[in-house]
Amino acid sequence: MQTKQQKLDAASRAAGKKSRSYYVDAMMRLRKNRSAMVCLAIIVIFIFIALAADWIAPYDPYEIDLKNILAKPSAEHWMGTDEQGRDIFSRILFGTRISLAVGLVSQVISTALGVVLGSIAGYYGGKIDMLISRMMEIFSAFPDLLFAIGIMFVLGPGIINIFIALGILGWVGTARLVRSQVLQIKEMEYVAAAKSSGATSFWLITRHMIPNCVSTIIILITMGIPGAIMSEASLSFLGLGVHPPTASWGSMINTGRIYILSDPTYSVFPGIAIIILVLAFNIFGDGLRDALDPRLKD
Amino acid sequence: MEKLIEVKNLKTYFYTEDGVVKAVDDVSFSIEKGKTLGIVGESGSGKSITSLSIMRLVQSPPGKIVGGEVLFHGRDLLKIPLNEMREVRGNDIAMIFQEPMTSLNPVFTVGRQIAEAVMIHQNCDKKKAWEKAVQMLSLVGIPNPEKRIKEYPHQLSGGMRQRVMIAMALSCSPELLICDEPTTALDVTIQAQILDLINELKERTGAAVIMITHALGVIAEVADDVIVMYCGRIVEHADVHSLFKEPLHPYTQGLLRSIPRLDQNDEKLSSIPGMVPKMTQMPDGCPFHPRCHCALDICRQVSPEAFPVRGRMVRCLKYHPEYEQQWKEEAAGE
Repeated sequence: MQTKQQKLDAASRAAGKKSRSYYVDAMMRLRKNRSAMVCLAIIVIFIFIALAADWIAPYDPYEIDLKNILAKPSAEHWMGTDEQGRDIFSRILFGTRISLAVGLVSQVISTALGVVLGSIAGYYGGKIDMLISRMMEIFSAFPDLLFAIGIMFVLGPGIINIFIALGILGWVGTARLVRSQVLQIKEMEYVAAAKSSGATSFWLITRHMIPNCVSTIIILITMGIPGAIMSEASLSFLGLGVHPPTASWGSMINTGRIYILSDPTYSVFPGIAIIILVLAFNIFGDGLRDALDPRLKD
Repeated sequence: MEKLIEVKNLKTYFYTEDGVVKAVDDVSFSIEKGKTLGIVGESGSGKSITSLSIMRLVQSPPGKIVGGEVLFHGRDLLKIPLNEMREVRGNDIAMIFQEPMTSLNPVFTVGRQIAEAVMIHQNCDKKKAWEKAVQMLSLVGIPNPEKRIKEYPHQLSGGMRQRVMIAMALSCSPELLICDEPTTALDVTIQAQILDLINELKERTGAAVIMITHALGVIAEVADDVIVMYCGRIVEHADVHSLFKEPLHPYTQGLLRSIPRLDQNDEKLSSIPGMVPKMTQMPDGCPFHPRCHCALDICRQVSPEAFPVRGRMVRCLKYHPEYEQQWKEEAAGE
């Protein structure tokens, strides 16, 4: 004769593992996706490089060596040197910092803006929604890069200004998605139930609306990072990005452009770095989306 | 007995593009402490909107409470500021919803949801709230509450979830519990369990209950008083015994006739012919006359008021002293 406890255990075994949260489930699905895991490893390597650039870089990225300018790749300088004799490999390693920082910080800014404005628009509706939605339309009416160039032109070059420009650029997409999700969640009975137990609007938004959008938000962030990295590279390429001596992949391609016929490797290597990092984030983002929302697959 | 809540001439209208929908039209009733009021009616008869109006949860726009009073302990809930109303919600009046599948937030454990409901109203720390949640779960008869409390809604069955909902609603010991079709989405055996549970908890806590349902069987089981609603109006208000024994309004009669019976030999179930009229295109006169088997010409012209008949309120000209004679004559003439 089974005891009650044994029966319960058997039942919970039959129903799958006990108390496994949605995110644990998602992580298990993600772990099975091999290409996403490879990309995650690449991202982790890049993060490590960014953190440890001071120790792993063979040369100081700002050290000028005028005897050795525009050297071809060699055992000494793996990717050659630039027009001031600085080691390109070291500069690429340091450039990882800029790219990752821009990707993360601008996404944090745009996600914060997007989530707050999107959920307010969706929750309150009416005139507030009107106002925010029109704002989103105005923002999305500009071509992205042109808009960023405009902001950078006003703010002036510099890393902080890139964060701001790309943050302002990216919030619209997040806000749109969060708004539409909130509109959907608003009709759910658990929201009515929470209201009937005396919850305030703030409580409803922070405890019910936003937690239910988290998977969307995570996907948006991972998908948004490569876009921001590309935008930073573009801005730096146009000379509107970080200040010149700072190593940035985009500005390296820009200066390398002049020597593209005589010394093609100069601009090719930073280009490859951008491609690898952006691709890794894109594929990982895809994998994450499939894991977090299996219905969206294919 | 003291009246716990008194609803007077409540009117909730929806202003839609097709016109004004009088979802709740001049509804009055009162409930004493520890009693259960049943509200029956077809879909769209205004039962749920009545309860949402009491809680002031009608979606606005398009809905608006245009008139009436909801006196709770003598205080008009329709006039107090919103932050005071929030104190009332959950604390004094709690609500259980129809769909146990969607009335719990899928991303949080049930324990956290109950604990949060407790924390909104009672200034207590997380640990106390959690203890309270465990206690509530065992109160509503969930076995192994310490374990169940850490589970997510999708891991529980429909009946379990409804129990969790009840635990959540009762966690702040409200004086009035509004149950909006609490058993509709559950299977029959679970229905009986949930009704027993609500009854038992009502006895224990002394709370009054408003039971909204379209199932007359549920009403017979739990209610002391019954309101029958049709098109936003109360057509009959009686105590449960006299209502089942002798329904007066033709609509109530129709509802009772349409319950399948075991000793019924006819092959076809009886039903009320026709459909609920579109709320924007209400017929003149009595709203029920197009479907009424005993409607006369007078019903097409005069919209009846509710008036007392044999100790209850009925809204039908058949019993109106002024028209009663005319009725008998026409009936005899036919």
